[in-house]
Amino acid sequence: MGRAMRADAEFFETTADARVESVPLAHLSVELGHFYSPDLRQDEEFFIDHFRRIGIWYSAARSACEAMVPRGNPRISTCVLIDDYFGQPASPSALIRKLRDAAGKAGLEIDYLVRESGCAHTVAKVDPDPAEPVETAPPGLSLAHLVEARLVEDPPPNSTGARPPVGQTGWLCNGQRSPATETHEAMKRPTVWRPPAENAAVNHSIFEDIELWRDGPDGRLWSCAMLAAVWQLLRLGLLRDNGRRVAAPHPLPGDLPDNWRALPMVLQLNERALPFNAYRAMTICAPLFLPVENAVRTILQQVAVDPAVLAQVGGRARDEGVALPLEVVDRMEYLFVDTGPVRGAGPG
Amino acid sequence: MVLVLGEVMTAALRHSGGMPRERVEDALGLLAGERVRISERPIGYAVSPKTFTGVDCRILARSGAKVRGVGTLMGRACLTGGRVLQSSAVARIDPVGGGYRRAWSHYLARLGVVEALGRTDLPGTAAAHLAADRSSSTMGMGAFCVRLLSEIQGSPVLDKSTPVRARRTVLRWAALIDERNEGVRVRFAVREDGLRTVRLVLGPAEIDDIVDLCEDLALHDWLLTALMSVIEQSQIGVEQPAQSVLKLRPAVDHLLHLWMPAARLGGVALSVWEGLESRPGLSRQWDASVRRVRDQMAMAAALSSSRPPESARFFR
Repeated sequence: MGRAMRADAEFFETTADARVESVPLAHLSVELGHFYSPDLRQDEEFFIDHFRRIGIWYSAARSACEAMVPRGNPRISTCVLIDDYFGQPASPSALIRKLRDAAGKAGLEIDYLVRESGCAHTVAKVDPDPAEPVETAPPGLSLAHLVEARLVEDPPPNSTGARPPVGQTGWLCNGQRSPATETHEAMKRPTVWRPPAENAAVNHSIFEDIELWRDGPDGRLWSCAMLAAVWQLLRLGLLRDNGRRVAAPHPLPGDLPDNWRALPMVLQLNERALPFNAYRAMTICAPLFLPVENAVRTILQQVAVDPAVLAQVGGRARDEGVALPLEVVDRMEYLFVDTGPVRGAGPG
Repeated sequence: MVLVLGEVMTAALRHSGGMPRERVEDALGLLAGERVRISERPIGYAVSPKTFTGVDCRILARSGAKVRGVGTLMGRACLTGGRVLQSSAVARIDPVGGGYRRAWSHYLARLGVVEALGRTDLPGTAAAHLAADRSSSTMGMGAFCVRLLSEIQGSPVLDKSTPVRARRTVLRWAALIDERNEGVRVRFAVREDGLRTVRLVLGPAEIDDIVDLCEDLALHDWLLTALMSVIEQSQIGVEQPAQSVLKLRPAVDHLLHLWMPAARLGGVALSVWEGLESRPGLSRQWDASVRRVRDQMAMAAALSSSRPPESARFFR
């Protein structure tokens, strides 16, 4: 080999560098409500009752966080998620006022309000790079697509690298499905039924099969479980698009549009709010949401978060003396409590 | 001691022209939302984002014993000089006590690691990996490499025509890392069935550096194989020099400038290359082959310029 190659000089090219952008982090993000259309139509009294009931558990979550954080000075932010994907809520100005007032009367403050459709639709670049002309910028991907790309399926026993990724059906499970049981045409008799199996079963299986999306004439419709999984990863500050942060919070504009889609995905309602993203996420909700959140956990157990992002967040936690679980699902906590007569997503 | 196993597949990119940056990004963008890293110096080089696939299967140790391995294989692809495409499958084998499989999130918090459940003999596992049939690679690494390579070769940005006819080669490698080791020992072999094997025993090292090194070895082994195959097809001494030269031309156009051992690499790679050059002398064989190509070129040029075509027959 040539002698010139042994010289000590090194080339550094920034494009060959795989750095990821960092985001401000609170210790804890507390979700005070996830509202669907049937609930969003309720009056202020409904929300005051909701936030009063949530408030009791919010205090408990606060105390638990204070006890965990060194020097007892926790950074906590609150958020609510509204569904503008499956339904169309009232105009932003009316709804935001109603939610804020109700929370205030119940002694809570909503720091951030988030639009669920932001997880599903292509997000406009928040801070366009002035050096990059808009027309040549790559079309953005939705957050749901970014998460879908990172799915690494839980392999059933006897799977090697030869197993192709399924990924084409829109369904994700935690084991092996039961074979189809319809009559086999050629054989004219039913195939023998076999049970499904969970891959990491403890004695007996709890098999789950989750619909992530469905493609229809109007394009792809993401499932509630998939969008909620994206939402949890976003809160935990673990999503990046080409190394850049996504869905950064924006202050509430002075003039509110009539259309939710014209607003940024994450709206900062409280000027003094601590960071939106957090090491851990606490969700306080009605037991009605347990199946969805269980599906969220099953999905997130199969999402391979960028190791560079995990290392970055883990390193910052270590520097602050904060204990942070290695596995992403262990960073999410739940309180399933009676939050009043909540209707949830409804059948539509 | 740490054991890392891998396999590298090397082929000519199925594209005839040059590859501008955006096309390279499209072709190698295996993961939405992740960058393709590109560098231009000292040689054009692009590497895909890392991608992972889950495995839960038997791993063979030399003693014939098998253990269950659960975890993920890391896969990636790279393109050198806009011409040579490679895909890699890699896994670190971590023996763990207790014979049961954990929740999948446990394995996704350790990407690129396969946990061997039960008693595992690491040197034995390395030997079995290198000794296995070409078609039965450990944990389906070969099939994973094929899948990555096919995905890229099938990209719509490529015109599917290959200017250099050369076989796809497979290099299978095992690296045993031990803190107590000083320096590095390497054994490079070309087996009868065409499989290349590399066994590395070395001190503390980054896995990414070892992957880079093995891909670099596979790249140069492929270049040499491809050049020799072009020379063979050109039938030097049988055909007219002008005819031979026509057949040698793809090598001159597309291969000769790509030979740069360890060009982008540091410490470990340099000493491995130095070790390899002292014995099999890959570069010596390359230099000799390149001289042969250039001599043919020079002779053909001399013949065509100094003699009228009819008198050239005199030399037949």
